[in-house]
Amino acid sequence: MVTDDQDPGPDVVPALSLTGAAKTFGPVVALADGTIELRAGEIHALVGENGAGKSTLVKILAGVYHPDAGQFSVGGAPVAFRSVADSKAAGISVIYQEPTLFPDLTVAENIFIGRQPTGSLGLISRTRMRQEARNLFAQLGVPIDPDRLAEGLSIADQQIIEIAKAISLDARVLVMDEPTAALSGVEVDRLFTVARGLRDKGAGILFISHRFDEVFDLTDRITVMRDGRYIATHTTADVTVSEIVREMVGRDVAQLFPKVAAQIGPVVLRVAGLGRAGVFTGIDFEVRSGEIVALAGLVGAGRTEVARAVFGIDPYDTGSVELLGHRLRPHDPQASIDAGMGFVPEDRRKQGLVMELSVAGNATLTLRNALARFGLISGSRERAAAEEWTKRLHVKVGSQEYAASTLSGGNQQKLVLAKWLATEPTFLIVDEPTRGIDIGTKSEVHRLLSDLAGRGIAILMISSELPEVLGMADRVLVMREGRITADLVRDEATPESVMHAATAALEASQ
Amino acid sequence: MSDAMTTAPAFDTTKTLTEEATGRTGLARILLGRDAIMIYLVLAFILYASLTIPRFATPVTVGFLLLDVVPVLLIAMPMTLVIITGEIDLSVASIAGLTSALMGVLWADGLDIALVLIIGLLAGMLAGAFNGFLVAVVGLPSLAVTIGTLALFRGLALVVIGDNAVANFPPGLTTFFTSKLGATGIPTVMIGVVVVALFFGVLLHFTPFGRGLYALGFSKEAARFVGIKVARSKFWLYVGTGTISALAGIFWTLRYSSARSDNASGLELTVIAAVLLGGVSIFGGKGSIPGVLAGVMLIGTINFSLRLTRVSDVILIIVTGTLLIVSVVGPSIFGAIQQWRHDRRVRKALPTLP
Amino acid sequence: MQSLRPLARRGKATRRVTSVAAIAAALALLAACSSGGDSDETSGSGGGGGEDLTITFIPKQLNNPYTDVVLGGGEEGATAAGFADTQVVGPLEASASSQVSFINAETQAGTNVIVIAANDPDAVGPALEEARTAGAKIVAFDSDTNPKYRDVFISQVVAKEVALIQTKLISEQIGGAGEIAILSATANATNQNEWIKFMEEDLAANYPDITLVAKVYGDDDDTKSFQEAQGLLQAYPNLKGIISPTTVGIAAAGRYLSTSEYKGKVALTGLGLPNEMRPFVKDGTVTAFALWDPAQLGYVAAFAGKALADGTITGAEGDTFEAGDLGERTVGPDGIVIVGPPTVFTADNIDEYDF
Repeated sequence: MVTDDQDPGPDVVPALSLTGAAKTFGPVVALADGTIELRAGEIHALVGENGAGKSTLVKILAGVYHPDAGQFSVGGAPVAFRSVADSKAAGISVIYQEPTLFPDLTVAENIFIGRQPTGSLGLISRTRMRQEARNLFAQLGVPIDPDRLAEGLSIADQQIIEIAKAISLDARVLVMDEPTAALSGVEVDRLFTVARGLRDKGAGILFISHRFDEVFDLTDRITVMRDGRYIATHTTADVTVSEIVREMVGRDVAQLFPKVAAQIGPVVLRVAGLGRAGVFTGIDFEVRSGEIVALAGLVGAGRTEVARAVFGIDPYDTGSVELLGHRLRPHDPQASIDAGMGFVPEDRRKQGLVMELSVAGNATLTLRNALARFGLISGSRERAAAEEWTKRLHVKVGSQEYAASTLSGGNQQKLVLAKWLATEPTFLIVDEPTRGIDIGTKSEVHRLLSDLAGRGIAILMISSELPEVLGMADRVLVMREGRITADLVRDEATPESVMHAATAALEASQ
Repeated sequence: MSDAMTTAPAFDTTKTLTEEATGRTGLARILLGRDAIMIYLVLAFILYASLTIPRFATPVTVGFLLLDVVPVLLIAMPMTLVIITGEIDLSVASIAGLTSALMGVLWADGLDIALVLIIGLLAGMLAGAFNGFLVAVVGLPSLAVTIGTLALFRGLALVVIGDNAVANFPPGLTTFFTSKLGATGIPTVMIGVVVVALFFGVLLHFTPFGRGLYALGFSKEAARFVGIKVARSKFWLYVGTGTISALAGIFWTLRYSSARSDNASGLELTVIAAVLLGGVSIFGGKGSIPGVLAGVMLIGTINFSLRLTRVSDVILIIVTGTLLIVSVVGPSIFGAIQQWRHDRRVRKALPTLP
Repeated sequence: MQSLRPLARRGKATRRVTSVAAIAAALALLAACSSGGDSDETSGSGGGGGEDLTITFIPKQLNNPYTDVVLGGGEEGATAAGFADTQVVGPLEASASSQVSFINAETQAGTNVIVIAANDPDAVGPALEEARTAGAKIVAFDSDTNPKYRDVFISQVVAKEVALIQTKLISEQIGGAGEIAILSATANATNQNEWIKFMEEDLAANYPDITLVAKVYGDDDDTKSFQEAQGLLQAYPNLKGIISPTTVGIAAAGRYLSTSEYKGKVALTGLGLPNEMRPFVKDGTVTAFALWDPAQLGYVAAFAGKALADGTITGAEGDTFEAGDLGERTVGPDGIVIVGPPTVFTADNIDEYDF
């Protein structure tokens, strides 16, 4: 075991300590050596590639999984959780990426669900509940109306409510499992302010993220995991990003954004005056052969909606979409596919893949018409195509017959790419192509996109990660409130210029 | 760092770490698959029945048994496709009844029998299109829609023919429907059934459309992203169940040479039970035509054997229900036992960490 | 595993083909079994009169109280007539074609006499033809088949007589004038529909002041019949009486009336079982209703079957046979055998019957 961490000394009892935890599911070892030591008053990052065992470790802490081996103590006392309730009772609260609130209950009711404060008659006292909720939000410095329904709250606000709930439960340990994945920049800043405030009050916070800028900005110490094992713990101030990355992947990642200049050719996609009432309006842009155009903006700016309309998933009210000079039938994905368009959607579990279907079935789903001869699909051609494309994209599969759900996140994303590349598209939309996938696969995806552009494919990339946008794009379109507010060539695109275009209206209105 | 790198992994961590890989490979997958097991069951039961039931092994068995299962066999084919997409059609038996009623009235009014048959089929097609319109185009839940049309079509049948029964169909036609293929004992109409089964089998297993249905059954959202026309596919499936139900209604009418409003009533449940027993998941996405054929044959054969041994229909209902539950629950229990045994093995093999 | 690899690659499509082949094998096996066991079948089914004659009753449906009484008489009669084996089989639902597979099974079993109450006069036809070809004698009872499909029909009474006694009873009970309704079994029931036809003719000809305002169907289902009775009284506030020519319907209607404000005000008559109707007669809901003794129906049917199997009769008009304790019966026109006139049950005589 490698560590350059100073021993905190025998007198400091860690808020939480897990040593050598193991967990298997059938033949798969999800966690071989889960080790983490979290002190009170620190923010501790847990990093690792997807499949490194982070989620399993979190679920052990949350009481969801019962470890097969290992030692676990909270505040110095050994514990063995039988349920989520045990974990909560021990003072551990987990904030998930996408909290699950009851949409029909108010914010205050969600916080106090199952333990509502009661009045003199033993009835629920709404006044007390409201007041306590207000106090909690004041403490966090975030104004949320305790009386509004949880329905329609942003993910960021839902997380704050989960945190408020954790504080009201006197949680000493807060585990945040990729909380920033779905947040915009402003929201991330607010979350970090809250987290720092809690740390200063003595809480121990375990922070899981794939974004190094956040990890280095926020945390005090970093624990690295790889392949289900503990690798090392570092004091954040003493390490560099490349050192951490090397430990995570077990090798050097030469270049995170291997963008090579491609020959920019003629216009492939032309979108003119595209509009959909209440969603976006006046969208004009072109994507040329060999060009990667990034569509940047805050969450909710309408980027995905534009992409869906272009591909034909959603209808549009005005404007037109032309591919290679041919106007596409609106609201008809099959027509778009036939014309040479591909779409890697943002949610690979729900939209990109049919999770219960086999790897081969998924890989050839886009090819089902092309594979048919005289209307009939031959099994051998189907398997050959599936094998070819999963191999080309290095999708790690046990068997082509296994369900897509058995693949890791990164391999799932590669499978989605495989099924679209199999159609040999001339224009490809990739929506958040590297969200939630490990750093190794991430750079593979980046290299692949760059390579595709090099071969003359026009690419429209939606991304919430600024480094990815700046690193990959030849041109950056910035959207704000359903309009394109900036069209920046690679040299003009800087974090400042993109963020300015994405938030100008917000600033102006303030 | 180098220390961690050189430590030989105690486990195969190059495999995916998220979930257990499911499914067998190779020959085992074919021979131990669910379809295969269903077929073994049918074969085993036929063998058992031949040995233990005195009059089972006679030539009439084939004819009687197959004639009995023809309507179920027919409707089960399109029903398999509908259930694979995660929908259901409860109105099939009522469509058959409506077709029967229409045939009766039209024939009694002196229309040419060929015209009567064509109108019957068209009526089924229209009834199916009506279901399809409500489910696929309007987007209503199929359970609610087809419970409604189950009553509606049966009601229409009563309106059409009332409490009458029309029986005087051309004798040539009615004898044809109960005739056998030479000395084999196999009813002539089985040729038509085989054509229907082949059509839907090929459609489901060997066409792009069929591929799309499986995807559709698991995830409508993901299906839309690969260009599958969700609404259009569903619409045509309902037209399919309607048409085949009409075909079953025509068979029913001519086999029993009696057109009446209550023909085939309750058949929808037998069909759905057989389809589920045949391994089609009620949640959609899973199932196959061979499995369903075996499911129908199993229920049909058990049914026939029990009648032959003069066991009450009450027992038959209990047996069918139990089979259905076993077929649904069985695989889950089997999986849970395997998982438990595996966990125990792994736990023993795990080194105890300090 | 190495040797299995090529097969593994064949995958899905092959699997389907394999499965289809297996199904085909299943059918082939079925066919093979059937042709193999050919010989032992024909020996049992000859129409000859040995000691080991078998008889099977196929009622409209099982678990119906009226049917149970008929079948009780049938089994008694079969034993008395000297059948070696008596069976009762039948569907749970009285639907048109559900009886066919039971007839088929009996054909296969080589049963000598099939006694059937047809749910549909024609739907059972082809199956009965086949049974006759195989040597079985067909006795219809309670509800007739198309005459060409059976040898004799054992009728309770002449259909017209059943209809007339009910119109007579209702007329007496409502004072010969007013609105009445009929609560029948299923809309397709053969015998009920025939009776209703005669009732309508009789009402039109002989009871000008009585109007038949509605015919409703309780499907021989207790709950449905109860609700239909309730519905009638709501829909026709001036209703004076109900005729229910089915035992299920009259009992359900009786139960409704006895607990409602209409008790004693709205007359109820029809065909009912004394055991079921006793409380309603005693509490004044019903003054009189009719029925033949259903057990006699089964009893005569069994003897008719025996006579047919023995060759004593052929079902031709004028044939006579001995029906045990009930004495001689004669085959009338169209092969119909009449059991006897219906009995009218009132508070005075109801305790003398137990069925």
